[in-house]
Amino acid sequence: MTDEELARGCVSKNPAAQKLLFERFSRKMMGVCIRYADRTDEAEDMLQNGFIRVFEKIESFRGTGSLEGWIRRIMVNESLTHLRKNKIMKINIDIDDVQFMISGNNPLTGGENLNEKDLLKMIQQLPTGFRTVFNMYAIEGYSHKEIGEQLGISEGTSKSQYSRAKIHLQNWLQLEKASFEQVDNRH
Amino acid sequence: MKNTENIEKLFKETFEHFEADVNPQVWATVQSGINSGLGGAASTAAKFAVGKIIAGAAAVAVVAGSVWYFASNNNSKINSTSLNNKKQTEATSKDISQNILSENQLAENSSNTQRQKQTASSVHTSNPPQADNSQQIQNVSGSIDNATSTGFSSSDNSATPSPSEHKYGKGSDAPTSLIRGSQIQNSKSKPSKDNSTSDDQDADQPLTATIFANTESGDAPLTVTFSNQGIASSLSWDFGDGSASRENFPSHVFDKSGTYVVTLNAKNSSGSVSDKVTIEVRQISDITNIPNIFTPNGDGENDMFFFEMKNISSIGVAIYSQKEGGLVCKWNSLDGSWNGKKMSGDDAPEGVYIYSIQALGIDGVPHYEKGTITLIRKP
Repeated sequence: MTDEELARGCVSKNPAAQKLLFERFSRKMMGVCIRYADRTDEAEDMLQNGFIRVFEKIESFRGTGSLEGWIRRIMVNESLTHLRKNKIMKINIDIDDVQFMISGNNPLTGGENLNEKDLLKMIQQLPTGFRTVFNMYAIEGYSHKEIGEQLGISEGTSKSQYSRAKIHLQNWLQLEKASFEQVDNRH
Repeated sequence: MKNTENIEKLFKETFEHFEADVNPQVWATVQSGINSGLGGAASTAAKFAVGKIIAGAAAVAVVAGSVWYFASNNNSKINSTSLNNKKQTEATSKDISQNILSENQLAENSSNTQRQKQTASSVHTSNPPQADNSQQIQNVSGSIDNATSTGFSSSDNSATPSPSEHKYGKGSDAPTSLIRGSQIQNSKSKPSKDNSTSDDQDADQPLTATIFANTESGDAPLTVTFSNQGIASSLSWDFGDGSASRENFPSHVFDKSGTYVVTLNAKNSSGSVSDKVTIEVRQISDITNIPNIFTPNGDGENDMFFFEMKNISSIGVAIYSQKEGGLVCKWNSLDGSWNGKKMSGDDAPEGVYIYSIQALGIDGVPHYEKGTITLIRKP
């Protein structure tokens, strides 16, 4: 069954089509939500509300773009709504106040070659504001202007949040790399 | 710059098509959400209703917590000042009941009182830093009668009174609950003849902003419940840490230590007034006493490299060799230390090593320590 057929089935509220659509996209969308959340149960809330929204709005899917892209956008919006409701976005946080943690409970698993679990852990340990901007810009490909509009911050704030997030990720990657290779020259 | 491109590429490629396991329960919830007639809206609403109940329970817990804190404060006072025990106990229980009253009913009480006593024509700033709660309640309810003594007269309803601000020391004498504030008397306000003044006279009510915080200092993370003891039709709160709220009774968690000035802006049709309160959040986590030398020779003295930690929740330590480069030792556990051996198990040679300690306190405070440690092997 193609995505278009699936979408049509969901418009007519066919339970089998709804289940199939969920099965086809839920793992990918969980992969989106888990980056915006910092805990799994939080990501599950986002995913759940996102899919309910998808089934509510499925009539408005025009088939001009991909169904996956359309669902993904709804998931991101739903994740942002969730964060706005439940998190302090801490957009104004000072970079010097934040340091990366190597979590004692969750040591990195990837060794020399960082795997996706390690990278996900790094994203999740970013403060909420940094994490949100980094996700939207680097992975979803939103522009800083769009991010600003979505989050109610200026374009410049989005840019500076992003570069700060990047610095943190870089530092952390370097520290991890140094752990397995060589101490870097800053010492 | 090359690094910069790499990091974007690395994350983009890793997560563009990233998939994660889905809890089967999610589909069950979605299914019941879309099959409940009205679709997701109903299910979402139901979920939020549960959330509110939980939030309510949490608020009760906060009140209970503050009462306990207050009581224990007074107990310590009894010990240190040897006051009459019985009297003190009475005062404590009175304070507790007033404290509960102030959480739940004070706003209503004081606004009723103010409606009854609306003959006043000037502004009062209630500002008793050392008063106990019951006195504060009297102050607020009686404030209109005493108003002229503060000499803050208002003839213009657009006047903005300067916000009052307090900062309390950390001593046990500081009350845990305080009321202060500013209010502005609408010049058009008339004495109310009818106790059941209705909302259509809102514009004739004195607009007041008076922050009530159930506590003003404590260890991070500190939860504080705020309310306005004054009269206004809409409130906006700025918690001074980058977050805000428009709720009537917001409960806010200050994650990190610091001094936060919380601002309340109260509005009605006649204008707006504001009030401020300072919240002190103390840091309780720390990393101290990092040595700069150790001698791992098995003589029982300074054989290990470690340091003191207070209220640290997670830690990552890495030891690098300055001479050879490269990681020598690394640990992520709170009871970790370095015994002077390489990861291969061989003794590390004498020399200078670099440590990098990254830790997170239970109060949310990050700690980052970097320095050198000299390893000496005495015979």
